[in-house]
Amino acid sequence: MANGPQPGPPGALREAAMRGLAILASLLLGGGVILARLFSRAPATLETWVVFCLALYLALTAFLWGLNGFAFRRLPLSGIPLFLFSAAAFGVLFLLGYFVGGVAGPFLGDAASRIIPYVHIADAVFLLFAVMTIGGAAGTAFSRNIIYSAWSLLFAFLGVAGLYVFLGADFPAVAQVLIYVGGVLVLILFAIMLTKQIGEDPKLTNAHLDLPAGAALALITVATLTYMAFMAPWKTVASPSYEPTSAGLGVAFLTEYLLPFEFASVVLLAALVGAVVIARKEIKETSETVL
Amino acid sequence: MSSIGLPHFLAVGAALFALGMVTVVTRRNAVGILMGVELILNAANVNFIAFNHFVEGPGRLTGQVFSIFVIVLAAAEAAIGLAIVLAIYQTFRTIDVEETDLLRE
Amino acid sequence: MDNLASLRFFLPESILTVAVLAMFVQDLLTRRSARRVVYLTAGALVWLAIVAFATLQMPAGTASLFGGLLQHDPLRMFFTWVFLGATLLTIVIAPNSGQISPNRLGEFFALLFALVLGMYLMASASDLLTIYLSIETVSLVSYVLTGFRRGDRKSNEAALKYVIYGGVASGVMLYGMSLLYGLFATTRILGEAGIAAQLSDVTSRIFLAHAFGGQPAAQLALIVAIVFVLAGVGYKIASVPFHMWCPDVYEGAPTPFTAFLSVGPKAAGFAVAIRFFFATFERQLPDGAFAQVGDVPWPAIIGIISAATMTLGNLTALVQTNLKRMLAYSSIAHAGYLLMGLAAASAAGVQSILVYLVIYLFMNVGAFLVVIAVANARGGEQISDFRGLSVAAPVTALTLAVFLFSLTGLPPLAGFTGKYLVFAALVQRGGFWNVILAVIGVLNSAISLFYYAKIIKAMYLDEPLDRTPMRVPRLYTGLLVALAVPLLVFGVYWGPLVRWASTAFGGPTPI
Repeated sequence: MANGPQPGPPGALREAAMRGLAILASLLLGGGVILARLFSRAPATLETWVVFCLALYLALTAFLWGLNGFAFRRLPLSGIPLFLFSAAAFGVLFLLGYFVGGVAGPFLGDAASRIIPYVHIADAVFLLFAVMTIGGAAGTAFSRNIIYSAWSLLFAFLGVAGLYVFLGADFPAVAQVLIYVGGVLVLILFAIMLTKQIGEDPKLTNAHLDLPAGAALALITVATLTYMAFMAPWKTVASPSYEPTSAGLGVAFLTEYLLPFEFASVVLLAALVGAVVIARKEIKETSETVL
Repeated sequence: MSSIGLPHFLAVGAALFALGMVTVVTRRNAVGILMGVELILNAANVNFIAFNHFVEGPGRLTGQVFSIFVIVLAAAEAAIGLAIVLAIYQTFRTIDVEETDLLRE
Repeated sequence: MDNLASLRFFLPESILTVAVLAMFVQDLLTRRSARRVVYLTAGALVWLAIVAFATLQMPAGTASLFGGLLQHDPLRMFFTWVFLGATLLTIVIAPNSGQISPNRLGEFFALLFALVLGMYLMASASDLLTIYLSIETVSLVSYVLTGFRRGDRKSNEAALKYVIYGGVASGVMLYGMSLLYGLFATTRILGEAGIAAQLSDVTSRIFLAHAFGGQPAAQLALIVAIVFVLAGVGYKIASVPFHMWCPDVYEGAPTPFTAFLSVGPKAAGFAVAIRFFFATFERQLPDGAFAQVGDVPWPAIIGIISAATMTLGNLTALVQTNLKRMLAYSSIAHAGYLLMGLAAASAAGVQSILVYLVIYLFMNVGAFLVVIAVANARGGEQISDFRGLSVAAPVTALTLAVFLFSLTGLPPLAGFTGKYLVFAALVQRGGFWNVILAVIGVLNSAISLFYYAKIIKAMYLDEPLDRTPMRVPRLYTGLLVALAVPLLVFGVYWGPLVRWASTAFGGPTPI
């Protein structure tokens, strides 16, 4: 439509309005037909099915034509290709709907109704944190954009903090949030920004070397370690405690672990000075180390 | 009675460890690699705290103490690592480890 | 022993902590002085002397410090002297090396003292927590000192590689430690309920059956834990397959620090290896059998690693043209020789490691010192820069020849003593595979002669690059002679050294 030599602002506006109207109309038509089909009490005959499918097909075609003005500018669909494309899309959607409605839906509903009574709140919370942690870690490992990697790392850190709470380790959980999320992650984001990783092509800032080999490594590692985790007869105690541990940790740091506690301060001092030594600009450059 | 026990936490730790290793092995971006190291350290920490809770038992806090030290040292290591990354960026104008490769036979 | 009573055994470390702070303050106070290099070096030497004096005053005997976190024993004292020697040499070498800007010398010394503090802790750590903490301290400071040459591309790149490999290695080691903690419900290695005691009260098979139902998964957990910890320690001593960082870091780091890195942290790594693996996993059991934890013959595995390490190090060193890089590969090979002493799984084996480390300190620092002198005078570290050194600087060339022949292990130099003791420990231990390992060691020494001789040929036989006498600081010449003479002495008269080592380690550490 409106393929004139010079569409001009008024022409373009008119075209956009038409395509928008087409989308609206298609949504109304499709939604109406589906709602009518869902709520009609009359038994479905062949004729109603044909009308239903035709109406949906028309709605889909109009929808695609409308979208053509916004989404698929690279792929101008009009005329016969448009109808063929919408037919293909309709076929795929039809099969999908048939599968969900006829096969997967009842099965999932049945499975859910069997499982739900056995799910404890605690388990659900654990699963939430575990999925958050592993999902975040997977995002860090596989995202192609370094910023997305960093944000995924946030979820991994928060998930781990949640697991700590779950294990009755309140102080490590807080330390995790304060130091990892508030410190390390911010450092990482600063490093990304200062090294101009969010430049022209943000998609390729985090390329991979050899992903299949890495995935194989991950699978082997995770299989071995998980087998070990589930099969090894760990000497677990009968009743784990969920008491807060902050007070106990404080006492431990000042009695049994006083030496590492004090030593850590020296390490931190050396690390801080070291980071400054490496990152700061030289005051007076020698001839050899001119930047 | 919750059915979640020690193995589940260890499995989360194992997954974190494996994903961290993958990140380290496959990334080319130095900051990305350092993120992988953080994942590995978190995996060890999850193990420590889970073992503290389920194995060493009430009243003993070795695992939690260990995890606090790990968090502290991880922060120090991140600071130094990222400082080095910045220094690298200032001299090489890139932090792709495939390109910062002067040192070879 | 409780915290307060332990302080008496912790005096050198306390003084080192003060020295770190004092060097920072002195750096600030002398910032505008024209003679700051002299002041700073003198200050560092004074502090080192105080630390050495405090170390000398340490009571003899064995004690468990800070409730089992540290172990005071002759082994620790032996290693502290090796560390002090390496530190002394580095402090003397650094100011004239031309690789560390006078502006940053104070920071260099302060960080070096922090590094030495970490190594002191490594030598006495007897708890997984202190082992991790001390190894991580040494690593963190090493990253900084490797990248110390600001704006230098090689130095920066070396630091980046070091921090990446080091971070992964310490993470893996930490994961292994977490599994050990899960298996034994403690992080103490020594002591009544420590890991060593839990492992040694019965043989491993019975132990596993007794404690864990003997399931294969328990053995797997134990093996994974030990292998992961081995990875962390193996990275510190640069053994195959955790050696990749070593050549790049050695080449890129400022040479005085490379010399330190090749001796100090490597020795500290062996201190941890001896304490952890020998005391824990290779304990001699009452009936004379060796514990094979998890049904795995750990001495044999260490033997295989050792053979792979020295062979790879030597073969790669053959094709190097940069002397600093060649010495890095040679240092990998020497880690292999040293591991042979651990593979022997006997007190004699550990003693041979101790003797070897002392000798290695002299010859390796000496070789790097010559590299610094030549790089400063001729502007390069390539083997071609050493052509005709015998004409331009006869003393320097002669001492380098002594160091290189000693590194090869030719009699009558001290390197031969070290190698002889290691091989003897292996053969004495007996068994077909131990003898095979000793033979591999001898063959490797023969290979190493090729590349060491290449430098000696360049110095003595090749057409001189420059006939005018090369300017070597008098301090360096004196230091070179001072390092070469002990090699000649220990080559023929090694009795005192061996006696010292045997008092330091008289068998498996008593629990």
